[in-house]
Amino acid sequence: MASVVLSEAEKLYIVHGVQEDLRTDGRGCEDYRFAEVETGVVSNTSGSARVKLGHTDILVGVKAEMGTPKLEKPDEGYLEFFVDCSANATPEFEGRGGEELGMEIANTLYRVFSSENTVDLKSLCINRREHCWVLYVDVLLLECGGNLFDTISIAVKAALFNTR
Amino acid sequence: MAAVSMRLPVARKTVVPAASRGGEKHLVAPGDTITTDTGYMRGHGTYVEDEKLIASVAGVVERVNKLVCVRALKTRYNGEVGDIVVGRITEVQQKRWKVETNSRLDSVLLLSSMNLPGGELRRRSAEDELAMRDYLQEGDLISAEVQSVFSDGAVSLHTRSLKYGKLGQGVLVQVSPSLVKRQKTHFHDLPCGASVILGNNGFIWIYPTAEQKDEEAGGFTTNLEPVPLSDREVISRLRNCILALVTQKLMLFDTSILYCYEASLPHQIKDILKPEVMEEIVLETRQRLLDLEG
Repeated sequence: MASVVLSEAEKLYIVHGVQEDLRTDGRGCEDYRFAEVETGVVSNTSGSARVKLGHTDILVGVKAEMGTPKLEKPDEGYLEFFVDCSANATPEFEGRGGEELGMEIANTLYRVFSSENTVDLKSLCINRREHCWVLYVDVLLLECGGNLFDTISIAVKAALFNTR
Repeated sequence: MAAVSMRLPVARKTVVPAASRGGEKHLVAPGDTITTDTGYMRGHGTYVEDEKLIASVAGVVERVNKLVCVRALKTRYNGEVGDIVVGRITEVQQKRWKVETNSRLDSVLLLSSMNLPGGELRRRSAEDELAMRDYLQEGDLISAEVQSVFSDGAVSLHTRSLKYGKLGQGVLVQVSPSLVKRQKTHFHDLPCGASVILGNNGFIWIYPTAEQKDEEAGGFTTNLEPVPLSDREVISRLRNCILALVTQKLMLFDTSILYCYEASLPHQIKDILKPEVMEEIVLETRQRLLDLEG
């Protein structure tokens, strides 16, 4: 997501191409770049995954800890997300620039993973109202090359799958 | 919902060097001693310390009679007089434009080195200075020739011929300058239907071939009509072929690009981005180039 300066003619060429479903690298509008998924990369976590999609590189680590369930959902565990946009992802993130984007992505992840279909939260419960598993999911942006939401969701899914 | 193809990472295979070239290549890293013989003159990429000739960049040692120099694989562009470059305007200053050409310092295009529309020859006046932004804005791409090199390495460009000037619609590919082969001409009209400008600074510009060959005042007015789909596919395929050649470290010139294009025709354009298809195409290209050399 670093800003690239293009001439007017180049922009026009790209826009016309997208109207005809052909991007400059030959893909259609709905085609993905090929992705590389690797699990079990970070040794001191319960589960981890690294996903590379083109130039985007995301590292996710999951740590499982004991905690008390939330009052409105006494027989379910929950997930906590934290997204860290590191400064070496893109120059715009240096200092506090990446925090806003990190908050936005974390909020989206909360909404996506709070529905029943994604993760079975009841299985995270140990004792009703007393103990449950809390999964702390940390997302680290290593390199920012576009399409963050898709890559992060794939990486989180892979890391949760890898969690023991 | 389009399918995403996932892969597991594998250790990358090292690029197999072309076994055809005869002789051992002398590869050095910065700090390696090239020779202790004091009879040699030192060229680019070397320095003398304690009567030894030491390399300052990582690359291949080249010897021409008594001159020793080291040519690096991936460098910034070092300007030479007479090179064709493709650059992007970064700043509009008082009587000149600053152009980005992938070198250590921004290149300079003086207002007096630019052709006026209509081809007239006169002293540039104050109105010309004020109208500079009408000619070239920030972000525009130009093709130019190197006029001279300043002592600090900055390059001064000129567009004093009708074949240089502002570039219109097309695709830019950025590669390392060391992969562009020096040739007599860098403007090529490929028979597959597109034209390509191989800038010595590593910027490669692919654009649809203009049907009419009449000059339009040094190329200031850009053609803003939509490009037909068949031309677009040719341009996208060429872009992916050039990227494939770059990942396999093959020199870029018109014949290699053309062979690579022909080798890629059986595949779909977006499949060329896959590593195994890239290897297959470049292997075939390399084979045809070897057959050409005889």
